[in-house]
Amino acid sequence: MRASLQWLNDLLDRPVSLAEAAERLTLAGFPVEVWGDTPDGDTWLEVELTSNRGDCLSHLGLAREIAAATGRQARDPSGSTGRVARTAGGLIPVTVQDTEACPFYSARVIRGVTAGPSPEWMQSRLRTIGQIPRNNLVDCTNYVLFELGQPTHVFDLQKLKGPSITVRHARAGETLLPIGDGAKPIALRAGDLVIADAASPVAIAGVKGGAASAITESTKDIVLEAATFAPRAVRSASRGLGITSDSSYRFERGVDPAQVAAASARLAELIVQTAGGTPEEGLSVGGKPVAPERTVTVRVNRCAALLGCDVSAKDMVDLLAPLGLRPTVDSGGANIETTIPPGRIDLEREVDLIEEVARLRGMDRIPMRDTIAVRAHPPSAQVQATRAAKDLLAGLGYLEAVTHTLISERAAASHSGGAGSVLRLDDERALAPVLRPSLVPSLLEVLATNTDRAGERPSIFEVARAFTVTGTDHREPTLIGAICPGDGTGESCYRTLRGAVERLVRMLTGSRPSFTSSSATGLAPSADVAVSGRRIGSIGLVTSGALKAAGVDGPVAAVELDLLESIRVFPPEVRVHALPSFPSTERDLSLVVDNAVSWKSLEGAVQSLGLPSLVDLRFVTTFRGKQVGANRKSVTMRLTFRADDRTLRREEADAATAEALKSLKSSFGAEVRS
Amino acid sequence: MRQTCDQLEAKAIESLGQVASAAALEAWRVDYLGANGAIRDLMNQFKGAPKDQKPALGKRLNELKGALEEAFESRKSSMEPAAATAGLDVTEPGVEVGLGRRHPISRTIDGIVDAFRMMGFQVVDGPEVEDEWHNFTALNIPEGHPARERTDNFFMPSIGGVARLLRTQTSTVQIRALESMPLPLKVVAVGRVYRPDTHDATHYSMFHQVEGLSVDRGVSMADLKTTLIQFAHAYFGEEAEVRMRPSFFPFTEPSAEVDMKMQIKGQWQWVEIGGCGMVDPAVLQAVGVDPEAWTGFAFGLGVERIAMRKHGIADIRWLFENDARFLRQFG
Repeated sequence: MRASLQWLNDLLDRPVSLAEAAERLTLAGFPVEVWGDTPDGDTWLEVELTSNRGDCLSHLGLAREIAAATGRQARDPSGSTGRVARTAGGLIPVTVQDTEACPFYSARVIRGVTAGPSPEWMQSRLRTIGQIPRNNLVDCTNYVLFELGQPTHVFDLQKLKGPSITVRHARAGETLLPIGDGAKPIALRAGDLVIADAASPVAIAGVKGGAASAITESTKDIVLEAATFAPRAVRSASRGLGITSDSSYRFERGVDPAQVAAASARLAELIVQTAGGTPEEGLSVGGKPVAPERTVTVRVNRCAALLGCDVSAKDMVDLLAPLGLRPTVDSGGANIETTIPPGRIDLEREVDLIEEVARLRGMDRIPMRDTIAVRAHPPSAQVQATRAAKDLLAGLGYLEAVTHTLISERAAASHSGGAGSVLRLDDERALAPVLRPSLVPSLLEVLATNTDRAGERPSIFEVARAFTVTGTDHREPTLIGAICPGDGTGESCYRTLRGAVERLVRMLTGSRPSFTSSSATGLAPSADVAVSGRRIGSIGLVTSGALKAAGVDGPVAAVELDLLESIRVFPPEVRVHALPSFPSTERDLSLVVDNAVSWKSLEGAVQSLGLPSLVDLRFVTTFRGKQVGANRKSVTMRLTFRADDRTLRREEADAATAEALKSLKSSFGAEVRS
Repeated sequence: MRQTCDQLEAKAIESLGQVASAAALEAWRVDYLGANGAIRDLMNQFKGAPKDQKPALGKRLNELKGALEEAFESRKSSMEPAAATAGLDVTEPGVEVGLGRRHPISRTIDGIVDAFRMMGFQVVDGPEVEDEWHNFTALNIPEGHPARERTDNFFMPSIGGVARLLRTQTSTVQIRALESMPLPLKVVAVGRVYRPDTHDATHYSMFHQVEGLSVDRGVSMADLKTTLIQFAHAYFGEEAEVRMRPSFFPFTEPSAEVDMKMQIKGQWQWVEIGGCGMVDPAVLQAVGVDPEAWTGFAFGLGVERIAMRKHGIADIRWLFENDARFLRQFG
């Protein structure tokens, strides 16, 4: 809220300087970071307010805070309007149909006013806080709004049918033309809270007045509205109709019924002072009876326990009293009972008052100790594994990305496993409404950005959640996703990525992963990655459809691993075995087979022979070309033999290799490459 | 003869220091270590030494020879001509390795989590897609509260009859921890949170928070402040300071904003890094904890804010563009 320093000082017994006001308000929880001087010789300051302190959306509210923080006294200008009636008995009938939505409504008639410019002092105040002066009647309502925090409204009595006032819900089909240049009629929603005369709505309660009943230059007799509306009712109408105002902003934060009548009297006083006229006796009211003043009890020792330091009962009383509370200490000195001023709707419970003590005493006086007591816990496997995985991938040359969880329909299309499984926002206008089912589309987008901007094709990874719907619940596993774009063949970028995945899975699980041909969404060809027979993810080449959607050139290999599935036992136990005492010997076999024969089947065939002394079987290379013929490939494998108890003889290794060759020939029609 | 040894050593080392060319070095070698050099002379004299002095003298002679040989090798290698390493240009750059980088957000998170783990906080986790109970109701944000407006949240259609939304704060994990873990507890949760803000230099509709919660018998605001200052020392340095300013959050009372004094370009500056407070009794009651028996504190720190101030990142969007040229600036 923008405040005027002169206005604040009008409401204080001793003037405060800008520096003192800014500092004390900031320390009390109302940060002041910008201010400036006005041509009229005033100073404005912008005060930040939290949503619970609607009572400080006024100069009186801020003056009370400054007073409490500096030992001054604040003066309530509505407390001395003796000539104007505050009691019920007005002539205009007021009916409130929903006293939950409108706990208190008051109307007052003033006859014989003369609309015209407001006095210079009032205009200056309003300009200082960024308001544009209109005329004396409107300016008086704004003045009361910013002085006391009480929204009010002025109707032209002659234009109110009846004349009568009913606070009710709008009916289907009703419309209202609001005040304002160029305003268009608004179709009210059935249920919106309105102020109506005998015929139709004349204002949206707490939000905006209607043009038809508005005052003009020729207005003579007026009705002053001062009321309070429930935050929910005002918020609903304000949001639903798309209108906000200084009034709705305050009502949404709560205006206490107990302050309304005094504010009405203050408004009448200002209008009589600036526009003349004679107030009618009495105030027409509707709503619930104003609740009696609240009292709250706070235990002195509870305050000490919560703040971690002793505050005496006397100090607590001295801190609370300047806020307009009337605290008293009970006979034993253990409890403080206090009344709550009407504006402070945020003060209901003991803890609310303890907060006031902490706030006004100064947060800097909460003590700090030199040490902290610690109970040690084992490390979190997830935290450790995540960090180790990120460090490993970064070490292998992958850049870590952090991308948005929400992606577009287009980006998601190639990566979702069916419409029913995708989680979407309930917002048809959202550009990115899909909670991504996979990290791959986001990583492809990062790749596209880097290619577009700098012609780069970096390898990228991210550790984040992906989302799917499963029946009556949703799943959001944390995935490790990575992409590896190649410059050459799909095979080479796939194998580069797979090498990284083999290393990563080995680090996370302690085991070598197995790869089985599969048909994962968004990847073709693809393989399931498994450890000890448990599937932990997929790897493959990104489909051309997905590449096209992302605007990325292929080939790009991608992998996604489920983090928690990968770290059921983390860190994996490491048991060393003794190093071999005898040398090993290696034999390479280069075989020509049909293209359709997988490495996995060749490997499996040799492993199943249970060759004595075979300790390792490794892929070396695959070659395709004219030399080996169409639809054929040459695969080279390396067999390593070793015995634990002696140096193996050459003949033993040769015999085992021959056996392997024989089996591969008969099973796959393999030929030895010449 | 012992004295001769000492004098010879001093003289040899001194003259070696004056050697300036390969030829001079070779001449030195011949003079002292050569077949007719000074050491050989001494060896010859040694043969005629008295028998009882021979062990000590022999030892001394060997030492002297070793010392001069070592000095010679050292001098020789320091004078090694470029020709011996065949054209190596030591000013040429090395082969680039390890082109990958960790993202500044995850690096920042690691540092913050380490500091709190040192202080005995356990790391816990919660879902990003939440229900209204955990995101609002249990956090003392009742039905009708402005924070629950559909336009201020990313809602999705209900699943299994329960409305879902992307969590707007990691405080949801406070509720999940209180529901599932025995007291006392001291936990920290890190993760993504979502608010439908229009993207600009300081706003993004997704960001990261670190949430802390401690519930025990007799936990006070002094414990909260002590924890924050200890964190500041562990993460920002011994000179870091903490300041609390009164504020308002529905789930804590008293509530405060947390400023920390951190070093930016060598200057210590106050930076607002999050919010904190004593757990509101209504929150404890919502999860069946008696607020008379147990009290707690909670805090939430903004990861992006810390990373941005620390690294001089002027625009929050840079963090989520993932431009390789940006990421490679980190280490």
